[in-house]
Amino acid sequence: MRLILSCLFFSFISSTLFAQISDSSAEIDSTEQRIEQPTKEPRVPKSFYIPTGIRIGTDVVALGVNTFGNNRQRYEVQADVDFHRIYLAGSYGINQYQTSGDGFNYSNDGNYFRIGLDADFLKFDPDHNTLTFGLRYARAKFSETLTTDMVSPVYGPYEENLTNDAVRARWFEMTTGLRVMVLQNLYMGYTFRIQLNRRIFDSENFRTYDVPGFGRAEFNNRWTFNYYLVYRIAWREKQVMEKSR
Amino acid sequence: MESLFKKSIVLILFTLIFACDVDSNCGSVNVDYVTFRPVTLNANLEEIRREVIFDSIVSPQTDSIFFLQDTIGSFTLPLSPAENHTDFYFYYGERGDTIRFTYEKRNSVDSPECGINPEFIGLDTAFQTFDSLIIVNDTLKRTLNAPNIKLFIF
Repeated sequence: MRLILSCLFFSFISSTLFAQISDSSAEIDSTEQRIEQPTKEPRVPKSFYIPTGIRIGTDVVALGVNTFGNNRQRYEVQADVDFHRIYLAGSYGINQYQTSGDGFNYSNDGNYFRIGLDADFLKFDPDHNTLTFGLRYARAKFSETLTTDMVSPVYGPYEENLTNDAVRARWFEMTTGLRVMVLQNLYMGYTFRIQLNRRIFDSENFRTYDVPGFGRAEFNNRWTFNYYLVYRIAWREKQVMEKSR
Repeated sequence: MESLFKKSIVLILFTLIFACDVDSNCGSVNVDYVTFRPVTLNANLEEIRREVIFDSIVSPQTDSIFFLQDTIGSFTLPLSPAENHTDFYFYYGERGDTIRFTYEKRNSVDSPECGINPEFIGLDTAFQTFDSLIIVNDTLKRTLNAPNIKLFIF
């Protein structure tokens, strides 16, 4: 149910944003049509596709959870490189998680990465702010331990120490994100992720509870949210298409 | 640009609202007991249910006595969660029968509040001395309508 609601919500937001973008370009086209006939889309010079810089950042939500929470320590580095309006994006994170309850302690320790492409829909922004939609492939590798100290009403107390040594997981993501320049070359913004089709491998001794980078393993599909602080290291000036007037 | 910011804020608020949704509850369908149904065959070789008076049913792995001189048509016996096998001795009349069940147990963490949720799978018998026995279901779940074991007693 949550996934359906998420997809509907994602579709709604996407459609409104796409609608806005296509409307504005329609206006431009009609203006152009009045000035010169026939209308031709300006070709993007090949030089535009040469990367102009790399944006590197970190997830400040993770830093907040590390500071104010007791259960999770997660650090994530995110980077993207521009090829005109397509961004090659990736992130790498390390994660430690522990929780306990009535008669058990659970912990995991591992890392994860995501890699994929983003398409930027802010065509003419001179500050290189981006509104992106993208896809990701993600993998996690981790170990986890479950210790139990239980009492069976019939058979009495018993203890178990269970370890899954080399668990792997993979999933896919649909993302939308916004980066806005707040200072020169410093950007802030969110990435909203719908995480899909999670699979776990080599979880042999007990069922995985938490997957680094994904969260609760009981869900095959879920969604999450990151807020990034990003710095852009530019090695050449990024050119943007100019609005025709 | 301004409208994009507004939409972003709406998106963030929706995200937070949905993120607060908790799907987990503590109701597990897994159980730790085996369900038995004693049966016999009538003159037409059809299965019919049978009531048995067990003098006692015990397991060497616990001091508990599960049944003592009860007339029972179907019954349940708990498996040991600490081991991968459980033995039961059935005493009735002048007879005695034995079953050793083997199984795997898969633990999962429901949540810190709900704790551990063990699941017993692959129920089998290492040996048994009943006239006949059929394993109908080899997983132990509350939702199953059929018994796990049919015990044939003639």
